[in-house]
Amino acid sequence: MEQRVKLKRLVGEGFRGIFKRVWLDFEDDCKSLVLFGNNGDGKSSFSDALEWFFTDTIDALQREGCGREDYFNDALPKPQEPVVELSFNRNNLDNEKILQWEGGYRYSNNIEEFRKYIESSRKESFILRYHTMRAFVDKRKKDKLEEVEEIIGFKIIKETRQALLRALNSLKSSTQLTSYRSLLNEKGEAIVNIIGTKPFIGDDVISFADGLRKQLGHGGPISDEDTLKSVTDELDKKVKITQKGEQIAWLEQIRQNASTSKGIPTFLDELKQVLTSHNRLASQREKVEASALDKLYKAGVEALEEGWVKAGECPLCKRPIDTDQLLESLKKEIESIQGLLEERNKTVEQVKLLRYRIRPLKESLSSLLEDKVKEALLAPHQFETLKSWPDLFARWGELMDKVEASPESVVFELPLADSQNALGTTLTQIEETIESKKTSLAETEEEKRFYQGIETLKLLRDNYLRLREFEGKIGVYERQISSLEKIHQKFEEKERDGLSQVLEAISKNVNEYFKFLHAGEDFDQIELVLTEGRGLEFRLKFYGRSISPPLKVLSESHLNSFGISLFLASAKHFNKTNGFLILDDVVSSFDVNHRRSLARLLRERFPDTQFLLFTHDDLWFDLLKQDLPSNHWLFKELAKWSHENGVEIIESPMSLRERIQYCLDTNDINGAANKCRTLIEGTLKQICEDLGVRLEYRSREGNDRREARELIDGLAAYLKANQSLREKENKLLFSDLKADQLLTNIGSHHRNLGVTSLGRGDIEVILRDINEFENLFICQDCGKPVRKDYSPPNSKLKQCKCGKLWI
Amino acid sequence: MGEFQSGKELCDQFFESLTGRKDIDQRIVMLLRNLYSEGKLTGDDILQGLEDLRAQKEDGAESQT
Repeated sequence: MEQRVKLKRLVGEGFRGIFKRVWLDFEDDCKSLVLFGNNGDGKSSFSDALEWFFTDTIDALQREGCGREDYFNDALPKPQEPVVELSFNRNNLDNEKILQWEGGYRYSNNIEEFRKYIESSRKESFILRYHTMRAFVDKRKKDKLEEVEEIIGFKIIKETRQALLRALNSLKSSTQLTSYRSLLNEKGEAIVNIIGTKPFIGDDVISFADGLRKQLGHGGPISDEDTLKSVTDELDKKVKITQKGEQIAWLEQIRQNASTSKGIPTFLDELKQVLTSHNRLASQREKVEASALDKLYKAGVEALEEGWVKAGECPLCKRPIDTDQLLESLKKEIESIQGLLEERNKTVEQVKLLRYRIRPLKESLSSLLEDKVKEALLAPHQFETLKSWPDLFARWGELMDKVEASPESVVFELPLADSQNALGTTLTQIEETIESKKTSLAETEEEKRFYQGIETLKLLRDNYLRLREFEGKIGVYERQISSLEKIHQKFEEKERDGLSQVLEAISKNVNEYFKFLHAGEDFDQIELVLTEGRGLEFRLKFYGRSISPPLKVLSESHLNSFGISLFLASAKHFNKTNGFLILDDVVSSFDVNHRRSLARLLRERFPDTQFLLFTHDDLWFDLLKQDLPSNHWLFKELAKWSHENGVEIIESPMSLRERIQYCLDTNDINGAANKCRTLIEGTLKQICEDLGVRLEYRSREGNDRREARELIDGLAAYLKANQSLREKENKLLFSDLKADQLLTNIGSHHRNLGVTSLGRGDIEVILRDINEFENLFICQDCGKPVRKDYSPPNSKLKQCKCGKLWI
Repeated sequence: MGEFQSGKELCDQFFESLTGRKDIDQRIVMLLRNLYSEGKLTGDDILQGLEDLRAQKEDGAESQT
């Protein structure tokens, strides 16, 4: 397997908080690094630089509404450009990325191998920041699943599932299918009106038709669809041979058209509802905008995907831009406004359905205006009533075009009730005229029944054949829907199986890492599980009880550990290209109890990974120096950030005491006071832990926030109970330390308190006090502290390693 | 990825497994496989393909289900 990529050097200039050229040198063997810096000194400028180098953006800044202009250092003069330079353990990948004032960026090394490297790196997650590490834990179940799918390279699965589902849903709600179903009902009702049986089956229709056939004296039986058609055709021909019969058939056709035209008022009611609802939506500005943007974004996506616009340039403003990033962002925008478009899409669907309805209405009404009809059946006032309507159909068509094309409101005026009533009256009158003419054409009752029977049979045939046709079309749709449903369901099963395998592996490591960080606490079987309805959630056993989601019972500190454990587990399984991870200030005041375990976890479980560990916690920084092997780890710190110099790196003194001395040497008395306070707390915590001093119980992170005063009191109580170190000079050391602690507090806050600041001499006295106090608990012979693990079990007093000192 | 099947491997395997299934229209299977192999498996392209299949049926093609 190819060696994973690690960092040899990171150089920045003019980028974010970095002004003058600074570099982090990880040496030829790509050592890990702990970088200490107080808040505001510019640690995150390095993680920002790395994130931008690999992804072109800084996600956290983007979410805060900051843009690329905020990547430029404030003091950087134009035309100097910000630079981030990385050197790797694979020299051919070494590259400089330059942020250009005029937009975009450029690399100094454009070889294909580097392009491929960046592409694979983008699939990996290698930066964890404090403000994002809880983001996953706090996400909704659905979003958790989506994020995991993204991390594990299941994007193609998600896209395939979505494509199948989209096609399935569109097919189910297809306008054409809805229209076929509506026409099927229409034909079904017409058949019920003829045969008088509801519900009916095909045999009922055939049997009724055959009965009619017998009454009409036709010899051949009607036993199926074919004979229904052939017998009816024969009878129709027989009628049309005679002039009278032909006349009656024509009248019946016109009667049917008049009857169909009577559906116009119902159609107008529905059209009015759709137009009113459309105009109501048009008054909601955000929905109109969403619709316009939807069109713009979709056009943009099409132009970019089809290569109609120049790559690397914004198609609108012509400024340099990353085309892939623009495409991705357009797709995200389209997805985000779909909710606002729901009602608008429904309106457009309704308009489509109305289009299916308008055509037969228009054709039927127009047929009534033909000359032959006008001459034979219409009185002049009836013709006048009808003749204005065909133009109206054209106008309604235009209205529907407008609604489909744009979310803007439309002005419409539909025929008033009086006009509609006049139309209805005229159509009824036409039907009556036809009935009267038909009656006068048939001379005998028998003749009337014959012609009527043939008309009924023809009507039944037409409706039944259309019904069968629509059943066929609907059947084709339904078979496609059924197949697609099965395919979609099988695909989800496959996806679930694949995901479960991955989750099982990740969960195993999350469980391992979390338990490592919280050894001795009763957590077990931590896992990520798929939930009902496409989601993902953590589940764990807490005191033997199954808990999900973990937010129910866990403290801030535990939830942070979930975030860290998941990040590490995911990196272990999925970061195959890069062998480095950046942990940017992931330890907070909540995490003091397991911060040391975290260092050990990194050391023991990730020996082949290069870490860039940024922290503002100076005590932890000190502990890391003790816990992490110096042959693999470097320790550096940041000087106080300034506008003139930006970020500055200094070699780190090895211990907190040395760093206090460094502060004194650079005349930073407040910094020294601050570190002395940390040193007092750290010293006391270590002594209390070594002796097993019992302190008042506090729930959750309250345990982590004990101050020096409380630790001194706890330690004093222990010594009193054991009658140890009771000499006067020892008691004085306790009082001095209490006073020192108070002084360091005042010293670091003197500006707020309005008191005189501490002097160099004060700090030197405090340091001496701390040393003398610490020495009380160290054996002068073996040089080791008194510790409970050197002592016999259940012993009240604790001993040093050689057993000469007991406290 | 080594230890797990990648998304693409799962998809390849899935579309392969649909071939020959009697409860699924094999013409739809062919349509999806072709679109997938051409990298055009989108909702719109599937719908267009299904519409073409329906049109073929109306032209007299027999159902394969």
